[in-house]
Amino acid sequence: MGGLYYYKSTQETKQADLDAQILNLEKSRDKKVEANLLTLSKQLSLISGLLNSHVIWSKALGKVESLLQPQVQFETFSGTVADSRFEFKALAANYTVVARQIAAFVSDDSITDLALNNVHVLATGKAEFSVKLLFNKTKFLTQ
Amino acid sequence: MNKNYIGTGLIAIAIVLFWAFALPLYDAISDLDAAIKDRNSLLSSRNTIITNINNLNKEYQKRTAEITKLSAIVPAQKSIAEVLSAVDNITSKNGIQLISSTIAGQNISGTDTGSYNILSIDLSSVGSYPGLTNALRAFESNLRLIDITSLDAASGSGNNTSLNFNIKGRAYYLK
Repeated sequence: MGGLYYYKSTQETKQADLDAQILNLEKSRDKKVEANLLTLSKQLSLISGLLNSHVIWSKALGKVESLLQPQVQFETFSGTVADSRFEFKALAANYTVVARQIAAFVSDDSITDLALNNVHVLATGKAEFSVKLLFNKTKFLTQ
Repeated sequence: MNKNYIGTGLIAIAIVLFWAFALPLYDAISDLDAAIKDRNSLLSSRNTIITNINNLNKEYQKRTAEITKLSAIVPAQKSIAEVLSAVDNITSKNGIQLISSTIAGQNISGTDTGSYNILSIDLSSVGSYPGLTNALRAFESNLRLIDITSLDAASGSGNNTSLNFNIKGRAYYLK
């Protein structure tokens, strides 16, 4: 019995000692360092995905410029990433130029669909037309 | 006969004493052993974690300059003032007149945006087409990541080279 009491007492001391060590370890934690590391970890996991889908409108506009026929002049244009859409209203010298312009856009693999709206001839003799392009985001907007 | 009774009685007392004292003591010691084992395991795992954190912190300190740049891409704070300063810098350098600007934080809930919030940017400006494309390039290569989500442009009245445009974009910050 005495032996059991002695053993119990040593085990209790050992437990108290371990509790004290755990408490000391807890006190030695630098919460600021841990917060910095956690922030960095979040940033690292986030940045790669965001950079892969980073939108490059200058590339898209460059592509539109390269496909633009010499006798076409934009009046307005707009584009949105959310619905992969680029629309513009433009003036062309005549219907033939409009047709060439449409053909140029259709030939590009980054353009997935095209709608030509409201073509009409103005008093100046120029054809005014509107186009809605649907594009492949990866090919049109990202590197 | 009496001896037999005494012997039996002593054995009975010994059994009762064992049940009354030794068995609870034995149970208590068993519990203590289990608790010590758990604490040893906890201490060991916490020591390992803290050693790893310290090692990571050493690496962090070595690469502070790179981490500062990395942190600027998607900062922990909204930092609206920095975005406004970048917008002002980019537009003025590219000859764009900023008519109005709105920069507002949006707390995004749900899982599709992961661990970031969005800072919405809405700019109305006047400038030339080359100015617009140069400004877009500058936004695209800005250290703080800015994605232009939509743009609208229309030729200004009177002056053929001038465009009125509206640019919407978003920057990111951690949740």
